[in-house]
Amino acid sequence: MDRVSDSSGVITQRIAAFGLRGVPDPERTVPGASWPQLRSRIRWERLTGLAVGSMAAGWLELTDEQADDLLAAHREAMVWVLGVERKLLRLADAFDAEGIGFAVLKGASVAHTAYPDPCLRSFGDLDLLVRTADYERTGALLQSLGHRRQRPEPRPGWEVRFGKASVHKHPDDAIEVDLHRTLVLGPFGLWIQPEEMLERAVPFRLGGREIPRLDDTGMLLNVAMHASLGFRPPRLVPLRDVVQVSGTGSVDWATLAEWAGEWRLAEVFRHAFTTATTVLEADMSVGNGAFTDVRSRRGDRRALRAYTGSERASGGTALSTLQAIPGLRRKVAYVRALAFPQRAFMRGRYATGSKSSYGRRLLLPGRWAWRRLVTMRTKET
Amino acid sequence: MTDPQIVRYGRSPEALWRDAGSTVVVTTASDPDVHELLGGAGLVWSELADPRTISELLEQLAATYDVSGEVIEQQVSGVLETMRGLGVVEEIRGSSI
Repeated sequence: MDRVSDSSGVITQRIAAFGLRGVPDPERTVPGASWPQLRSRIRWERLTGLAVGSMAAGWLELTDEQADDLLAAHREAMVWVLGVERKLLRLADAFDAEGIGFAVLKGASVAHTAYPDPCLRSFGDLDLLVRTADYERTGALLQSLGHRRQRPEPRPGWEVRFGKASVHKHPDDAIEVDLHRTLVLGPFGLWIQPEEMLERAVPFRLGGREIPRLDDTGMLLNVAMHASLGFRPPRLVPLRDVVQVSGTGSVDWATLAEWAGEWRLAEVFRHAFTTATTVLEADMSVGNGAFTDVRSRRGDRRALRAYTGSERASGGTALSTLQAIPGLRRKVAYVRALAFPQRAFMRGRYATGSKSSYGRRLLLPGRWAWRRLVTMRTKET
Repeated sequence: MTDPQIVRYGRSPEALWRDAGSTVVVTTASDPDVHELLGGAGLVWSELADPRTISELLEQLAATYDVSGEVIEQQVSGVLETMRGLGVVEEIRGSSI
């Protein structure tokens, strides 16, 4: 559904921008008959807090029934958030006991530091970044605590070489724990140095203790990458995060520009900042021209298109990852693992049936090539 | 100089909580449940943004909601006791005078 073409989409965007510095309250808005669609969007985009704020500010006018509906949705979101934070505290104790350094990504760390009130920022899961050297033993620790990994990696050791994260869930609470060794899958995840960001981690207070998070500079890098390279089109909360975090006053723009150059993120930042300010109609001061002299390298725009363009649906990320991997031996290992993954991966990725065959998997590159050809021909005509 | 007889109540730093619009939801790391502070309990929680003695609490609530402090004293004490039991409110003894 095109976010901007229908009234509930426009209203949702205004809700996402509510309270941003320099963004005036919209004129009085009455959803009327579009309320069911608006409510669904608000819930999917995790905007109940900002919607309640918009209602309290008076510009979003709801009937009593609609207001009750919204408050019920917000209550549900806040109860879930507390469950996630409770889990974070327990895991923090367990990680500390094993000497595993970590940092919370997005979610609770952004809610409690970048937003004036954590109620404005919902989140549904827990994202934790650890050093690559600690990745596998942290996964084992989660398993010992009763969590089940949601999908095996293509081959043992694949994730510490080429991957981003693994998803773990405990049967008692159904809260996803995304264990990261880098921030995104694909070339940009390989180019950044997450350990350098972990070294700059700072604490935030939660439940009477200190929990490590990325500092504001690392946090902005994280939310910008998530906004640009995550969902297509980008979801509204990541875009809001970009503007919100950039305005904390604690971002080290010189370091961010340095990282943009060294880690080939200039195009990603430009895409994230432009998209956020355009969609939210918000201003963002980008470090007094810190990015003016940051040049993109050859291939950076192509790499970005692999995430943001139509290539994403036809193997774009996998192909651009292959190009980014240094050395022939490593490239071969990458391709071999994806072409001939272990059976457990196939069972986890595909439902039983013909899709689970290796033969069908080997046909994927051919299907991608065909899809790209059709797309190119469609554009020409 | 501190008076150890003064007892104030405040939100426990171990409390995890959110304002959910029409209610407040709270829990702690060791509590498997999330609790809803409805009505008067929510009002008391709101007033405990800064630690207060029971007298200060009653005075503030009475003024804000135009009720007699004596009338609500038992309820407020009961709410404080419940929230202490949940671990989201703590007693703070002694403060500078």
